[in-house]
Amino acid sequence: MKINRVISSIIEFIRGLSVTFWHLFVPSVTLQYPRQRWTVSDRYRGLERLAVDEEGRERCVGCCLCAQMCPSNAIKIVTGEGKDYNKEVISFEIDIARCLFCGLCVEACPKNALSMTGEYELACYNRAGMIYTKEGLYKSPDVTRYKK
Amino acid sequence: MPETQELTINMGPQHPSTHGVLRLVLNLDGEIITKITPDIGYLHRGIEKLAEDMTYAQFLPVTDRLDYLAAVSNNLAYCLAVEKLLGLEVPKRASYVRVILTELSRIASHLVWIGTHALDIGAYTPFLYAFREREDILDIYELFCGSRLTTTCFRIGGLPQDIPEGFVEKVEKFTKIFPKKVDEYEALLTKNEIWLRRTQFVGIISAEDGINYSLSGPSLRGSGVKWDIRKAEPYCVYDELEFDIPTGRGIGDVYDRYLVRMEEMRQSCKIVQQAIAKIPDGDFIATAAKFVPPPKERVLTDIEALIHHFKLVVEGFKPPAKEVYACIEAPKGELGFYIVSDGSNKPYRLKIRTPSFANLQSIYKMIEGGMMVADAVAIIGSLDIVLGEIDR
Repeated sequence: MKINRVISSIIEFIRGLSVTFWHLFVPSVTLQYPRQRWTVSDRYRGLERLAVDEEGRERCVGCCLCAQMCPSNAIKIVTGEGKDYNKEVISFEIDIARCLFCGLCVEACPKNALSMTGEYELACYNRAGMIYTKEGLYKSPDVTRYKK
Repeated sequence: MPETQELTINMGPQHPSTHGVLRLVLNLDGEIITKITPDIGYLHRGIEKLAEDMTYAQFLPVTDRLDYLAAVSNNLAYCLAVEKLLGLEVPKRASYVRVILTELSRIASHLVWIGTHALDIGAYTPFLYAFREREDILDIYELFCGSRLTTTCFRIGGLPQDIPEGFVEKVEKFTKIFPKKVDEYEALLTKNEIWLRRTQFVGIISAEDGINYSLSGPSLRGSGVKWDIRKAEPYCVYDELEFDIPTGRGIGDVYDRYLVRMEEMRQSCKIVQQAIAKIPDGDFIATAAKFVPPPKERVLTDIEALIHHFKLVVEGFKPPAKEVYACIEAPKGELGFYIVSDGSNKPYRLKIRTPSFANLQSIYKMIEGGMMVADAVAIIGSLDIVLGEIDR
């Protein structure tokens, strides 16, 4: 009885080792992160961005639906009167320190102005850097702080 | 004879094998535990209270933060509860994709469990292998909804988008290789002498006690009770899919719960294989203008759709004043949402019945019979608790 158990434990020991041994010949799956990058999927929910239309006008009309929908109140919009009695978006801020990256704001936008990019390296040294204003959000994302 | 006395020590909250921030107060007689007192609440975020100040659609991303290892299951349970409240019919296509993604989340959750549980007991290798396979599942999530961990994968009434190109192939590829990987984990652990000695006849709970302590999920099935909500009260399309409910050897120890979860991964893989072959054509979200925002193309072109869209985003929908309870078989057990609606656009009360919270109380029973400190680690691992879910 006891000898059986010893034999079986030795067999299992060898079986376990054989699994790890064969893994020596399996190609590695690790990604050497800052040096190697993976391509994110098309639907990746990264940093938000605002879009302009074909004529270069801001698509955002300041309806505040995104701010209304946001579960964590990360979006702040101030609107005012612009030229020719038009409504103007004075400021549009997203605090990504609060942002959940859930994408509900993008779904709420009725003008296709807000979208999400594949930008995920959003760490920074102070809280002020976490607040993205209108100027930053209209530019194509260029926030990678990692320098080689 | 020297006089001895009981020693009271803290295990946690910052203990790696308490899987989060669980604090256990142990009364020790030598190395034997005489009394165990779990102290929870270190991760309390007031999620149930938060729900009372959010519209139904807004609360969805918050459910990701319950059981963060299987966020998709939480989304599903919440969506099912709200759909039940509204009496909303979900299209078949959406239900099939929901089943595929939740079963994948079950596999992902169990993979984290086998990795960390084995790591607690002293086997390092399965952790590396399990996280390698989990990565494939997270890639599938990223492809489908754009996020890996906090998925916000479903919407009330269906799915946010249709399945993308390459999704079916990617899932099929995963289900093809995955059973072999489970064999690999089993080769490392199932008959390993050290594993057997650490897990067999440790933390025993009988079927009767398990039911009395409201255990659910794999932890209950390990005691030999064939209880699975997917079979007992089928939701989504589980009644159209074939699978077995594994129950282990029927002793109810740590090893049994291990066997059940290993077999469950294979069964989940089988379910995904069947479901992916059966996805029907059709809509991916229900058409119900009063509850579900219209599609984006309509919003951009049609004034009626735009009005509905504005109305739904600004104030949300107003469900009838009633109470509903909907539950699913989450990876850890029965996950239920109990919603009390007073007819306004926000829930009056939202109670979440989380499996980890109910499962943890059975630790009193499991620790009986002279368990040692090292066994406590094995027992906590076998319960597969997640503190985000316990404290909410």
